[in-house]
Amino acid sequence: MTCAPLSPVPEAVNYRRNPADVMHLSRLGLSHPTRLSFLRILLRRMQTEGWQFERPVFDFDAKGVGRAVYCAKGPTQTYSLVAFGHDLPPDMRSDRVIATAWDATFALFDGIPDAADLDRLARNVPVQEAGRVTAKELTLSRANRSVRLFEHVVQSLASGIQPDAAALAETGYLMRTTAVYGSGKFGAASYASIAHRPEVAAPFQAEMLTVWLIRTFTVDLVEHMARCRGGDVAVPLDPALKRGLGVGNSTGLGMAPFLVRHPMLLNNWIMVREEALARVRAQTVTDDTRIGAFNASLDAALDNAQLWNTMHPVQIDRLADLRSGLVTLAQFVGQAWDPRGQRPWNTLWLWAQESLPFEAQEALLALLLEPHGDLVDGLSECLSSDEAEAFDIDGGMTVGELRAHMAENYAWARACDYDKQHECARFWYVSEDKLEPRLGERFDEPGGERELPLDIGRQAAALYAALEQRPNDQPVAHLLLQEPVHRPMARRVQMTRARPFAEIRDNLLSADLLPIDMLRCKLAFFGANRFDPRSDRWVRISLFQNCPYPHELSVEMGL
Amino acid sequence: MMAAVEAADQDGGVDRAFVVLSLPEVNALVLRAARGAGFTWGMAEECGNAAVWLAAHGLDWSTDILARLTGEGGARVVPAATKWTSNGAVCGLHAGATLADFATLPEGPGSNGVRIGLVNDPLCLLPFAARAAKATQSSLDVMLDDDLWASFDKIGRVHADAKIGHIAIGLIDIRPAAKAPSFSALLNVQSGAVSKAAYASLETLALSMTVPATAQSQARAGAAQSDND
Repeated sequence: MTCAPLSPVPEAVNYRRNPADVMHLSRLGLSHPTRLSFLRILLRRMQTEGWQFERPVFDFDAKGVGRAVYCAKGPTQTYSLVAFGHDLPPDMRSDRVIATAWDATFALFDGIPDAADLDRLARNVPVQEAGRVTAKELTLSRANRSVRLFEHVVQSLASGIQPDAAALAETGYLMRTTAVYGSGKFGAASYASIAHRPEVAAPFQAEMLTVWLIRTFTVDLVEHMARCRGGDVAVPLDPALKRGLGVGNSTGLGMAPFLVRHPMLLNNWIMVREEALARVRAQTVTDDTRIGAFNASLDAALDNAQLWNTMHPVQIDRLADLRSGLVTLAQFVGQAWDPRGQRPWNTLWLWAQESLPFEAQEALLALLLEPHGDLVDGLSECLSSDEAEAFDIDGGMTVGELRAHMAENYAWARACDYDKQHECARFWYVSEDKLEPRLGERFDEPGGERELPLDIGRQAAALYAALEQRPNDQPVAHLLLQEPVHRPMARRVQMTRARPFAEIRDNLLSADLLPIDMLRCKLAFFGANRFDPRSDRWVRISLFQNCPYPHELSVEMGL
Repeated sequence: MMAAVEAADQDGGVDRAFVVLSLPEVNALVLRAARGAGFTWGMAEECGNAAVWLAAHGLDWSTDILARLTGEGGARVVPAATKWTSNGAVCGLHAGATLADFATLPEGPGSNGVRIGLVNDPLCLLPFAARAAKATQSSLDVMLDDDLWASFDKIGRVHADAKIGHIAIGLIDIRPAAKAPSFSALLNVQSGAVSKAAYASLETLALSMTVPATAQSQARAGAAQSDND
């Protein structure tokens, strides 16, 4: 529940932010990736453990049709990305919601696949949801080419010249995944079945490994196609250009409810980040090495903010806040901040609270963690959670105790009038066609009677009201028997006790809700950057930009 | 997903009568099916969790769950010390949830045990008996028609005949265990097999909690925009 007893910085407890300030989408939706993001955790572990990488299979034609296998060998286990390339007509790439074919499809295999495994995967992976994988697979994924950039890069390399650096920077990836399924989806191994392995115990490590290996595949594929087209004239992609490429990702509403459905995980993710910030703020002094690393990170953040493109009005405003805020921060750091003073990082943080917009404050959080890996990286062990263990309801708990737990985490829920049309304007549901979560307009669209229970604030307010009708010493079991509608919320209150970061403290039915805020919060924990909302409900991002490739991992500094 | 399952069945030319689901798939399917069948969200969650428990112990999880979702709901149960009352057979899932909720209270098994009464599809009650044993930190025996049917140790581990399975209705008592379990503990597995027919029935139920897409909802989710960049 808390890392405090094990903390190397026990005084950090005095520097934690208030959950009531942190757990609103107005801040969560401005999250930035940090060194505790899941892809950074993966890269650090593989570097520390000296993982080896091989490509035993790479068999493609000039159009990019074929198969490849990339093996990542850890101390005890090998994981293999199995990639299939397809020749997709452009008209089949045009719709992300009802897509049934992709430029490339992937599975992460648990071990090294033999010929029979590859043949089985070749029948099932290319059709994605229309196929089945097995417990031998950890993920199932697919990606489409960035049409303009992919062809431009292949043609340039085939002609013996490097592609346009500005075009690469603008898009930032050769392929964009449209789904990375893990944990039991479509027959794959469940997270619970592999969580005992240290290398995949932290959240989404199998998914991150999948995407990282896909990144290498995309570059290998353009270089291969360029060689097929240009023969001896063809050149490989310049390493500096290659470095700036990530893997794109389109993420929609399907991901948004995750943070609501997994309150213990959300608590751990936010708690770890907040504890990390508090440990840095609690440092009494600092040194030149850390100051230098911080300044380098600030410079990189300034560059990144300039390269970040978006057309969405909300993000355009936020990006303006970020750019101006980082400039203000750099000026303060260069001219007014005294890093030799007492608690220098806390001084910087407190100044930022008064002087910077939220977007830049949250960026500063990420920057402050960068030079303090020795203080914070161990917190990555605290990110996971066994939610099945907390499923059981304690029916013997009294109404008074339950009410006291509610006061800790759910007082915010009572401030809203959920009967107002504005406050119940939306409803979450599962779509019949894709079996994916969607958000409907309650007063414009059918289906409100089938809504999902993501109305946590409204449920909490209803439970509050129900508890007020009962004596404090009555066991909760009686409430559950007589008013079973409160069962999910009663379970949730018990599950989240002493977990102050478990809930998004906003009304998720409100007409004001921006689902992209929920997406960005989660994606930042993945390690995503350059969020580019395409509407209020889906967003494009990039993963692993400027990260090392497998052959560079062992010598990479500052992971 | 049935089309996917049928396609996968043709994989390698093997004609399988069963579909093998991961445990998260069992949970998601049964949760939706229970909701589609009209269960409250709380009981739908319990139903999904119970199905996973049964599947994880290698038991036939779908027959009894489907019977509960499609059969008569069962009488309302009134918990009381030593003997619960009802106006007829009670639902194994609802009686199970009530057993888990009251486990540590006077209405629970206590030191003298409790007669639940006639229970429809009592296999569905076993996952909750495991929770009751854990909550009370005591070993419990589940008696079916006065014969020992399953035993639970203090940490909720089940000991039963490996052939334990579907019983349409039975008289259930929960008692503190008189002696060490006479059966072996059931092993944990990581997937759940289900017949194609049962799978199709669960999918049909699950579909009734979904909402058909509208042009508006698809457009907002991104369908109206090109993904060709």
